[in-house]
Amino acid sequence: MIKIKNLVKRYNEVYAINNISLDIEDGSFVGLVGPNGSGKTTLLKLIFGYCRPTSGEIKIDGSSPGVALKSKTAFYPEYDSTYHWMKARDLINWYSGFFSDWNKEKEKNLIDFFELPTHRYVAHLSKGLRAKLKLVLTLSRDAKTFLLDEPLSGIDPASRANITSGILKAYRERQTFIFSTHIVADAEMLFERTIFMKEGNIIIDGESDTLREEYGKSMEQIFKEDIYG
Amino acid sequence: MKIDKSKPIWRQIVREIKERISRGEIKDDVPTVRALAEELGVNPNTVARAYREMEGEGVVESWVGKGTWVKKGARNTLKEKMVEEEVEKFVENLSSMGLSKKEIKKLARKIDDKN
Repeated sequence: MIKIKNLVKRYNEVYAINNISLDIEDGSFVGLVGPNGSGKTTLLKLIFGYCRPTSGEIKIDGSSPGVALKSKTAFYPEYDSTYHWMKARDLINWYSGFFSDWNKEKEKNLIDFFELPTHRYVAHLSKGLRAKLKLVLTLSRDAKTFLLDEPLSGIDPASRANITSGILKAYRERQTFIFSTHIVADAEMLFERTIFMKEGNIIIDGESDTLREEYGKSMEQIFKEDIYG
Repeated sequence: MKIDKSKPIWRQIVREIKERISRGEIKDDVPTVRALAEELGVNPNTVARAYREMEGEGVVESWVGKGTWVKKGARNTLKEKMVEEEVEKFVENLSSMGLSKKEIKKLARKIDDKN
């Protein structure tokens, strides 16, 4: 269980996160939706422990984010991997060595599903394939919590369904997934719960199907008409 | 199955599975939660919710580790109910167009002759 209370993150004069309180149950698949600069990445980084809150607190199963929790949490960063000089296969082998929860079978299934050419150098992979490689690195673990930061950004529309199917295949019901995105249409059916953010605040938060019933709209329409608009 | 993302997805899954059962496409075993989730590209918990609802209605039964299957006699009951619903809708639509019950009955007989 992730418990967030009165969380604030300020960079100089800018409030990236503006007093957020939030509980996330174990095993829920949450969509974190908002325009660029709404605080999604900052929130994920705070949960992972990449940075520390200005005030407020985050507790994951009762402990603060830190080294001990990193072994239970997998993070998919939006920025590109810097290991361009390695072959994909070597990168996977090297990276997997850091994690005791590495699941070789998941790794194989994901590589097959994404048709990832692991014999090639990372530098020679297209942007889409590099994203898939990053997903293999993130999702092959049996972590408890997965924080995926914009896994659809930079992916062409035709390949997005393949990415979301791969994520769905890797998801196990007892794991917690938080998936940030500003591309809603291709991912919204994965989200049991959708949290809409804007300017560091949570604007709408609810079970996706309940929101569909209340608004008579898809998550994408809510985003475009009630958050962005 | 075409999913309308502006309406609750679990309800659409309930509808779809009931239709598959009444058409006889699903006879015994209902697809596992995971298989259907992957087929439709939706969250498995959404599928599980739909199955729980159908279990509550007595359409399917499930047992941990054994999966989910169609309850005995459920197909006929379902078919009757769904036909009833469609007839009701049909009558309602025509009534709203100003047709009387008598005229609708006449119309229905005409369809019968044609087919």
